[in-house]
Amino acid sequence: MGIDFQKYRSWDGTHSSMIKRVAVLVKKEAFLALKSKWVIALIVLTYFLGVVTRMMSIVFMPVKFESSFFQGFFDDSQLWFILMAAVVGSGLIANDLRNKSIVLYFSCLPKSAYAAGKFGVVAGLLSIVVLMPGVLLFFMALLSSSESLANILDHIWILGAIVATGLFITALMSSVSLAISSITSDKRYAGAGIFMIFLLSDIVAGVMKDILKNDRLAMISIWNNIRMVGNQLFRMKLPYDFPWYESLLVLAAVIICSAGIIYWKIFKKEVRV
Amino acid sequence: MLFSTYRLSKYYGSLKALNELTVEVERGTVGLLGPNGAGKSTLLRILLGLIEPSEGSYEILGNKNGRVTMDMIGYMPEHDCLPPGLTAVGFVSYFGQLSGLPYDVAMERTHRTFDYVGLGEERYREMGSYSTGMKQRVKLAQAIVHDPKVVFLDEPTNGMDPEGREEMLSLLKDLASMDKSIVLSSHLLPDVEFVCKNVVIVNNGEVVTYGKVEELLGAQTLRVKMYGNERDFVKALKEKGCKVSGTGSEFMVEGDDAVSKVWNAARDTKVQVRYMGFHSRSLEEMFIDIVEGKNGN
Amino acid sequence: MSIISADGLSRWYGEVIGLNQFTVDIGEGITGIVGPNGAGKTTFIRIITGMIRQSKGSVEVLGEKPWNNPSLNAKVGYCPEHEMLYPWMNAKEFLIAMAKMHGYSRSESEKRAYESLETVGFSRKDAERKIGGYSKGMRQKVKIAQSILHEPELLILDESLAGTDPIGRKTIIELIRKMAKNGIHSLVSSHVLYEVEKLTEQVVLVNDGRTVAAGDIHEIRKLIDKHPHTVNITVNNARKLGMELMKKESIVSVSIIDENHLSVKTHEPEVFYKTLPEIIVKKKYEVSEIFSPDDNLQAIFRYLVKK
Repeated sequence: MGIDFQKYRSWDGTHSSMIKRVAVLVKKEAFLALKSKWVIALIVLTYFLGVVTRMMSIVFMPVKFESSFFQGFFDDSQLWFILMAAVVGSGLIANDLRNKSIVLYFSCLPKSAYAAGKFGVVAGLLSIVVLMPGVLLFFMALLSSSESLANILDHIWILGAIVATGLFITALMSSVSLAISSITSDKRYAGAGIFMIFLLSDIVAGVMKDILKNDRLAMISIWNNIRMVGNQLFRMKLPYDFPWYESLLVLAAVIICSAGIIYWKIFKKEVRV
Repeated sequence: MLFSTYRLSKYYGSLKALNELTVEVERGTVGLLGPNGAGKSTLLRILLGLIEPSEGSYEILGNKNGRVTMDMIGYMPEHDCLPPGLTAVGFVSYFGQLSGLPYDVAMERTHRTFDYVGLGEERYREMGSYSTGMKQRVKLAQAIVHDPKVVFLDEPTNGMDPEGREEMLSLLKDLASMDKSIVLSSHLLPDVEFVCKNVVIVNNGEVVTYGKVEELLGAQTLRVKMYGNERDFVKALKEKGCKVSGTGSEFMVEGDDAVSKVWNAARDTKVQVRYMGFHSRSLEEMFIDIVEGKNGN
Repeated sequence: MSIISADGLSRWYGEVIGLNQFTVDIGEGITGIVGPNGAGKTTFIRIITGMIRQSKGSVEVLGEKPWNNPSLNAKVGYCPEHEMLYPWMNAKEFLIAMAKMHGYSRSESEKRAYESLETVGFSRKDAERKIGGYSKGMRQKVKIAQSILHEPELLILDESLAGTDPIGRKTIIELIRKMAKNGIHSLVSSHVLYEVEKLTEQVVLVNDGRTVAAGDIHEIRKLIDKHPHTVNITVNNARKLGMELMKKESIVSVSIIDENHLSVKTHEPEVFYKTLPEIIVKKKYEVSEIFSPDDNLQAIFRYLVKK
């Protein structure tokens, strides 16, 4: 065989595709986040308070496929969603800025892949608490229901509403947390910022609406807009006195703004090496 | 061709960091030198795809910058860039995968690369506890784990103690012998002289010099260091027809057959010749000459 | 006269020992202090600048004890390794502020600030820019300027050449040499050994919290008796010269590298070098190169610090 001296070896294989690499990014950072006890706690909490308690009520009362039963999950879990977004999203870009390791990412991946990957991490983790519980609830109600198949098919639109609401809440909160994570290098500030944006906008909207007696001012709060669109999807009565599509526009604007901030910070701003 | 630029310019407001910089650099080892603020770092960042030029174009390994080129480049930054909570293995295998290696290959190559750069059991610990030497080795490992064709290194011996510096420079020389191109940006010119065959000097946003180190350093003269009676020795040499310059115990001797005249003079005046060799000026001397000469400082 | 003297100096931090019976006598002029990371250099510097106190042993700087001694601090200039500049100030403002802290009046502070900046070769234009935008080399110059504001008698420079470009380095080395000529002593700590060699022949080698060796580089080399000197020779007939040298008692070993190169180890370099010219001239060898890879700081360091 001869002697195999410890030397550097070359590699001639095919490089993996960009999609695969983004998947690696998402997987690694998602697992890193799942190691945190706060994240696990929030997931357990959301499922317990959102799903398990509702399921208990099914045991004592036959479920009626009412949209309010399912929509209620989104309303009640608002705080957990915000906390999850803050905990998971705050460090995503901020930590890379602080460690100055963002340069290394940019020398392996195009900036678009980096942004997509980071978005995938926060959206993926958020969907665990935003999207999946609602769907789970629906199927559990389905299984324990005594209604006929035809009747159930009538209610399938509720599943659509759950998925749609879950998706747009996830998309919105992911964009906002990623944007805030990109503007600071301290994840604590980012976390506080994410929390504040939702909380403060809610408080300000509530106060202004009551003082000036104008329902439209409720649009200041991001969450109120979510509620509007959500109620519309669930064919429920709208909580405020203005057309629901105005809320949709506000939410779209928030997502576009966030995307703009991320674009500015990652693509346009030069990396100070 | 390793890389080439064509009228590359970069403006920051009214400040011109790069001024129509044009150069063609061959494969191999090349030192990237320049005074602080001369445009060296800007050029490096553009080549690495980290910032966009304002005008002009560049190519690396024959490709305009793009995904294919990224995979062929390794980069070892100057500054601290290691997340403290990760282990070295986790970190390098992760970036190996992000650079295109499949998972199994990444794991294998990560460990082999650590063996190569000299990182031992500490690779399983979190990097927050690492010494400077270990951190530099991890940064180097990260730059070469994906077998790039060219490695860009920015001050690779930063903060390392003398032993570590020697090891790092030997590693770089070894890498160069394996048909990899190396671009070494450093202010420590003896390091560059040790590793690189070619050198690019950037000043005022332009390329001031590019060429083989050997050629640029110029003609060689005989340098001699001795112990003993300097006056007699120098006198004896001059009598034999040599031109002697220098002070203290270190001289430069010019003239026909200078070597044997030195030994004869040494024997005659009972002086010890402690050092004899043919030397051009050092890279550092050349650099200072060029930069100060051009600036008229 | 001893500028800094330490006797049996020990300092521990809990279980970690920084200095362990550290004894040294540092004289006038420029002295280099070198050693691996964690050897105790920083601890020693902290003690002599009065920042921390030793656990045991005695130390004197310029004849006085450094701890709690503001009048001594006024005679010592310290340029630390770590960053201590305020990024929102510009160099001028920073130096004026530092000068005022030394107790100078406003006008005196301004004068000293400008003088210091000029001494380190810092342009007026750059001095107006904020420190946050400076390169590492520029920051080093500001730190050095800060350390000479109060015209100290002793200057302590910790890794002050790191990150400077060759021109900046040349300026700083010339500055230190000029100050030495004017009677200002310097202690220079650095990892870059050939830079230390450019500055001075006097070094202190530190390892594991002790002084391993101190004094003139060449004297230290001579003292390392156990380790023979290696001398490499380029000659027209290596084997013939090698066999001839092998007969000499001062030679320990001869290695023929190839037909033109040989490497010799000798226990008595003085004897070897004295007799070599005679051999070469008498037997008409053509020797075009001779050098000892051992006789520099890097080699001494490597030998003494080898684990």
